[in-house]
Amino acid sequence: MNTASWADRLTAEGEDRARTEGLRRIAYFCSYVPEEILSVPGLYACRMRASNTTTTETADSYLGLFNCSYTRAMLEAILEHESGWMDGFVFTAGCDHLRRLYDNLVHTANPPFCRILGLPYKTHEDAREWYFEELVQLRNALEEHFDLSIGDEELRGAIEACNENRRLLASLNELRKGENPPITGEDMQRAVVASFSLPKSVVNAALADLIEEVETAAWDRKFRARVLLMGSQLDDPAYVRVIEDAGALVVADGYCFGSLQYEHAVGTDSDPLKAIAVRYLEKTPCPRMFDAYPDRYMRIVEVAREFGVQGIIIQTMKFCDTWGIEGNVFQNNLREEGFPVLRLEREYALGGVGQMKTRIQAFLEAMGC
Amino acid sequence: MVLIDYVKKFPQAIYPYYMTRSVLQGMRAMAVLRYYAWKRGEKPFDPDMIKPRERDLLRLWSEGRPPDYQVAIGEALGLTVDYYVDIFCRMARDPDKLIWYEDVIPPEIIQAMGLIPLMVEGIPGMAPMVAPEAAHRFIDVAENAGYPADLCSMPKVTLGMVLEGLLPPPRAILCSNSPCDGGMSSYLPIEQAVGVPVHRVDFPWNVYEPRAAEYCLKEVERMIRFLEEIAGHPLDMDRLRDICEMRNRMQEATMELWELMKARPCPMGGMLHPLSYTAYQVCPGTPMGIRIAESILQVARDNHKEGRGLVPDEKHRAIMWGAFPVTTPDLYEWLENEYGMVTVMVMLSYDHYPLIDTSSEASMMRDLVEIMAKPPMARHTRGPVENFLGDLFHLYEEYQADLVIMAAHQSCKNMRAALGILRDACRRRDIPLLIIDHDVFDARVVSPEGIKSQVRDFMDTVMRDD
Repeated sequence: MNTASWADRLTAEGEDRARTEGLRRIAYFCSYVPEEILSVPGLYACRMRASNTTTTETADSYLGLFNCSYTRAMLEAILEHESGWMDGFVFTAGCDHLRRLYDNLVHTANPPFCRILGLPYKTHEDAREWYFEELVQLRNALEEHFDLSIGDEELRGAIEACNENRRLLASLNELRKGENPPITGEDMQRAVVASFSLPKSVVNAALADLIEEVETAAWDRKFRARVLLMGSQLDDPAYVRVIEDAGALVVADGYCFGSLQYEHAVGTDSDPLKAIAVRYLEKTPCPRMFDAYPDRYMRIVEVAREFGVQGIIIQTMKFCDTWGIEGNVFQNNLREEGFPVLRLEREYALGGVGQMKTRIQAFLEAMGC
Repeated sequence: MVLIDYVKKFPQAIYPYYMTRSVLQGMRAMAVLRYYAWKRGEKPFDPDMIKPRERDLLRLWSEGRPPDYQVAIGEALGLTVDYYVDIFCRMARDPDKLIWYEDVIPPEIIQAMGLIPLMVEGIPGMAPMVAPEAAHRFIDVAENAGYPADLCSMPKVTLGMVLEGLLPPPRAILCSNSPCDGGMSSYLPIEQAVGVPVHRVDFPWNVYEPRAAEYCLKEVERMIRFLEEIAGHPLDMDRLRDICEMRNRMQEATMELWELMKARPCPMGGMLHPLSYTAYQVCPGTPMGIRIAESILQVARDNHKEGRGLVPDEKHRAIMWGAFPVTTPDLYEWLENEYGMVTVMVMLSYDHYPLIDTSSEASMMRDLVEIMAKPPMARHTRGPVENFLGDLFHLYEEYQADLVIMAAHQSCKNMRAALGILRDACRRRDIPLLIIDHDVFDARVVSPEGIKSQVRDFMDTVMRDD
């Protein structure tokens, strides 16, 4: 099926629904921002992207050229209203770039609702308590600013919808384990982007239909090797398409706008806000979290084996210190483990496609595929 | 003999030991000779009496200055290096007690535990001053090993030395999430290369939040438990109290110095800043730390009493923000000589903590934790941008400055991302702002001459200073 048109239709439908129902769109910038709190009645969560932003002249006069192009593109898109005006913004203090994006957004655009969550680097009981308190403050601020009531009932409803979305995405992802997967990595990326950009009520129904359709269809796709794609924040299905056009099939991933965003459900048998805090601190961690590299590494190795991966591509956004360093450590360790590894540095906006394809083709040849 | 045995066992230790020794001898010899020449009334003292080392820091930092200033600077440098040499001698005796710590973790608790603290970034930090080519070499080692070229050159030099196996092996490592992602993340490859336990301290994003103090205290308690396991005995609170009291003496001298620096003309020069900062990072709470602080203070007191400025004709008073370009160690002197510009305060040396209340264990820990959580730079790069700007504009007023120099280290993503806001804030206040592009340790990116050229352009065009 053509997931590009599926995603376009869905986006139009989602935005119509949001308009009709008067939902306020809250943009967020990090997989540690709990979308449940932004998905209560009256709101919907939209993970911020700037897919049409190719230059960042305005943002560059505030954020430096040594800041990652994701944050520069976000600031540019907001200042130029390219992505449509959002009703609010929620950050985490996830990394140096995001922290200063928050400062610069407040300084330049001063949005009426803009919050940053102090995200701990550890997951012990005190860290959970800290993060819980951050979420309490976020909830209170949303209630006050948008004149909402966000009680346990509203949160439980949002948790249910978000968990259902995770379950559906995990089911779709599971199909990629097959010998001849019915969806490409690009298709999967579209489904993930739609899931974290649109109201859950719209996207969950569409995802269920999509799974039903692809499960029953016959596929005979030609590819040279099954690869796992991991690394920095990546939201662009076209980037995955370049890899697949070069002959690889992306059957698994390890980045935060991919499986890391939909693994692990929020528990439903305790205080909802506490359960949210626990889920977000205990999900598969980002490299900025402390003492978690061994778990992160083992997860990648396990996923690679489970999905029959032949090679691993690590893409890192230029100027990202956490991934820049950890990408190298991953590369060394995965090679020691016996995996062929290709490391690609990239900017947020897709570019250098010809060079990238050549490198992927060379990688596949080196793998003997 | 102990040291020789140690070096036989760990041959890599000879490199940093040699480096500290070479700085010590280069500095001390000149300072002492000048001191005696001055005492004997041989004025003016001719520095060419001794053939200076090619990049003799003392010559760079104090040439043409009053002898007492030269002696104070020489003594401060000599003591800092002495401290390092002492650390090496101690680790030679007890190699299993060596603890590496990241630059924002104060060493007081490690000392009180009877362990030997070695600031990992300390020896690499000296490299660009002693031998720039050494810094370049280690940067290249890190980059050739696959670490990003845009990573801050401080962790790159450190990583390069660690990957080359040039630092003496520790028993354990302490680090944190301050002040930046680059430094924090570099401890993963360091951990893998060295293969010893690492304890990371989690400071909240905004340490000024009311509940941050309790969170930090618990984090430091975890760090202490980690160290107690390494040491095999509990923290000696009496010893910690002694160390805190010595730190208080050092702090009292520093606070008095900061007060004196407000005077016009300013009684001291910019060189005191890196010396003061280094002393707080390397040897706070030690007799050497006190001597460094007090020897600098004494010069300032004498000058202030006489109404004498260090720069004879003081024309400008600058606040320097950001990371000082270590590639250009004579920058303060050059600003003073060339433009009559005294750097009255800098981000890195601006300590303004209260004295540690040693009346109880609880009060002592509370105040120590505050020092750990809010050191200069870390408190500026974390939290909202107000943390970065607040101290700056406060100091600008307090010290009657007439310009701000922002030393914008190219790969400090955090501070570079605040430059636009800083520029707007300075314009609103009508404050002249010079942004110097540089790389803190890599003179190949911007040379010392390139840095001075940026200053010249600014002085000629903005300050209209011919």
